[in-house]
Amino acid sequence: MNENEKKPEGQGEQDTRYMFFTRREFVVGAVAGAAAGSVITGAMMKGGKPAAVDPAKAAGEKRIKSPSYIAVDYAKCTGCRNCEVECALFHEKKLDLSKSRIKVYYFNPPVDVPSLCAKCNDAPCIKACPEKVGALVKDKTTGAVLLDEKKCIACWACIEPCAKDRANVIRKSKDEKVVVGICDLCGGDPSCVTGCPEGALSIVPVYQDGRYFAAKPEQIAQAVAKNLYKAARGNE
Amino acid sequence: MMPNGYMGKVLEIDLSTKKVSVSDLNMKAAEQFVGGRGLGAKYLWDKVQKPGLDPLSPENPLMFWTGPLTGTAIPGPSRVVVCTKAANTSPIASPYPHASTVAWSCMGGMLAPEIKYAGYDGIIITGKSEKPVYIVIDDAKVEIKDAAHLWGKSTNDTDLALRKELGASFRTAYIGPAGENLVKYAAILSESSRAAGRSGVGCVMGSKKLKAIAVRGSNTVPVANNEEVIKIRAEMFKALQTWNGYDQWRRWGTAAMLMASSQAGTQVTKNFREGTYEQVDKIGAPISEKEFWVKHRSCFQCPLHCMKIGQVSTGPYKGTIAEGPEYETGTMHGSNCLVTDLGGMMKSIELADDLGLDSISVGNVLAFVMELYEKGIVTRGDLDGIDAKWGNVEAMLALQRKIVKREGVGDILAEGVKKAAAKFGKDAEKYAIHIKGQELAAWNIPANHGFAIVYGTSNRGACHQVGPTVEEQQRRTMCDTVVICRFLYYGIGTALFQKALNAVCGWQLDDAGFFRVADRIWNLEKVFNAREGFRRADDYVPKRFTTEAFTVGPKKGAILPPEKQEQILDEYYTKRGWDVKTSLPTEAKLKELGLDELNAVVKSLR
Ligand code: SF4
Ligand code: SF4
Ligand code: SF4
Ligand code: SF4
Repeated sequence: MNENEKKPEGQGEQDTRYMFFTRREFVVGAVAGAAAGSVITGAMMKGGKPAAVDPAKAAGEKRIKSPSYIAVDYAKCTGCRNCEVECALFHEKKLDLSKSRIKVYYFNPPVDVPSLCAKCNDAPCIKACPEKVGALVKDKTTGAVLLDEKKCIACWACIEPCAKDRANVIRKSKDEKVVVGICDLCGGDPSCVTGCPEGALSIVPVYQDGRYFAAKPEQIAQAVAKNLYKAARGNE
Repeated sequence: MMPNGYMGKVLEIDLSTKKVSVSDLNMKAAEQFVGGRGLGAKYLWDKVQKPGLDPLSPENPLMFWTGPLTGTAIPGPSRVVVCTKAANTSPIASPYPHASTVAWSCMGGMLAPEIKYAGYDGIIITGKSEKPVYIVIDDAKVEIKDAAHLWGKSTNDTDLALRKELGASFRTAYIGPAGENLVKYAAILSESSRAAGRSGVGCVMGSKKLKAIAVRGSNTVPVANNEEVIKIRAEMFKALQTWNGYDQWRRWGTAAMLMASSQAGTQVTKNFREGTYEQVDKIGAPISEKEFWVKHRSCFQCPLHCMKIGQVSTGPYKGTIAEGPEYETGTMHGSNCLVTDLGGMMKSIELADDLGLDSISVGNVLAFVMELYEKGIVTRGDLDGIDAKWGNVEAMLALQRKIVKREGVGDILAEGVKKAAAKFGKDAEKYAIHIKGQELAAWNIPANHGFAIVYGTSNRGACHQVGPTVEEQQRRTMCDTVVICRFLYYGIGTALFQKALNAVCGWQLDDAGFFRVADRIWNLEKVFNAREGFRRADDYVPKRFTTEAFTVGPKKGAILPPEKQEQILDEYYTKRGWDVKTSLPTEAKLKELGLDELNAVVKSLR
């Protein structure tokens, strides 16, 4: 078992107390071996050049070879929404942001929160999809939840469990024919990660139980604000 | 069929009758005036048929315009341009008591693309509600809602309340107490510190009893050549990354210019008396980065993230979270008021945003008061006991609070320096640094005479943005029209944006055509102003710049000689194809621009 597969302390318990935003060390520990930046506590970039493009990308090679999710360094994120744009351009070939699988929200005090599917290991969305329909499956290699649009009967059963205590990313499409919002990791080569000019997104292998990464943007914003604005009233 | 680049619709809301309607975008106007400031000028001209309209009357339209590139994959066109008849400008002589200029005010962020996604190229608000309201636009669904619970709230509290009510997926813009109480230089804000600051657009919004608008959309913008657009997108990012200003903008934003401008003698210091601030290192970018900044922020799709958010971590203002300093805010609240305490300066900037004031104008007003106080033109008694010594941050905060409440001396100062000077009398007028009633911004004139043209000829009163030559003015007019941020224009140039415009709209606009649009817009605004009574005499810079030379700094001795002022105006009008004596556009010029219909108006003014 390598370092990344080890269960951090507290995992396995159902209690929301253990969600990553209340247990900072969990997240910091989670990315320490995999990504260079820290997730919540990262220091602000001093401008400069954006992250270099991954050479593997240039070679057309898939970067994700084991179950992974996308970690956000909230201190680096500027809220530019290029990730949203790149996601739409990759999947739709045009700028239809209503179909983006990553959405960036702004909060006050100023915090920008890119929000996307957490690749929950127990994937309650998949479990909710009627057995006979089977429109959602887990990609064995990347760990992403894949949607077969042709199979989806628009029953919306998958929306609820994700909204309840996960990332709340699944929504009805504009024409209400199918769900949208589930990140497929672009089949192994995430466009949002490449397209982020700040290097705020990184690919991180998932722990055995990834659900603890799932949090709603509002919850993440609160935790991040506390870390970014330490001198503010109530944050000391 | 939607025309490419446009949603083809304009949302019109009458707050008197509460009538909401959607009209087709005037496509002929769109081809001639493109978007943003251009469509603003055209629609204003069509809606305001007679001169002298009271800007605070229900008839004055308050318009939010986007451009054809907005909401496409092209980075940069993220600005919403708020257009109306200005509440804060006035001519030297006019038969109309309410005479004022056109107003446009640009704001970056996320609002403009969202307006397009909701299905509109622009939003036009007329009328006046009896009670405070706010407008929620969710695609085609438009609601006018009671805003009793929001009225009186600061901009941050309004932002939070709207978020709680509507969720994080709406993009919002709002006024603070300054707009509610009709402070002439009130701003409209978004995302707590983005502002359509200039031109008093928040005052017009307040006069309509409109507290906020919230927008959410799910549509896409039709484009003529999608593949080409995506290609140009990549080219633009590449152009930015190879631009030599790229790293600097990303790291420092406009704050980098605080120290550079002081060196060049172009920084506004001590109410415009000097061009160099000897203490600039106390408020500049390096110390801000070290002691204050926490994170960068960007507008839609922009990799420059020039916005800096920071937090004061020690001293009396500890805990203050604010945006900046930018060059403008750091100069107006810093060097112009001789402030040396970074935390205090950030508190003053934060307060201006929170109260919904134009940070530039109010910084000018504060320095004006400090100079009058120093010269004994106003006393502590006149200021309701406030000790307005240079650099006194507490006085700056107290004055701002009085201004937005229109309490005591605040009621006088809420009218701006021009009217306040008239009220104070004595020599006060000498220290009122405005043109056409709008306060000057953070660039000083004596060491860079180009700014006399920038400020003097701007159609919205003193504005530092419009460019020092006719050519540059055309390019920047296009920026405000295609609603491109000035800094992306610096990094990318106009050529690629022009290419993008053609790819998005399916046009074949060449250089000449591009600039003709700009020229047309400028001339239409000019005729609007001329009809109100503005002439050459209104284009002069304040006397301070032609009578008092700098006494400190590398540009010590710099002044704008009065004869130079005359000469540059002569040259400018000639270049524009305008009559040098009156500054009115010539018949031939208007004809050339396809603005023949304006000739009858101009003839009656000669
Ligand atoms: S975050 Fe939502 S969509 Fe993603 S795996 Fe978890 S439940 Fe499913
Ligand atoms: S909406 Fe589609 S994907 Fe979701 S549960 Fe129903 S059938 Fe499955
Ligand atoms: S990995 Fe791909 S699908 Fe997932 S959010 Fe990023 S761009 Fe979209
Ligand atoms: S592209 Fe990067 S910096 Fe921009 S919003 Fe997305 S994660 Fe944040």
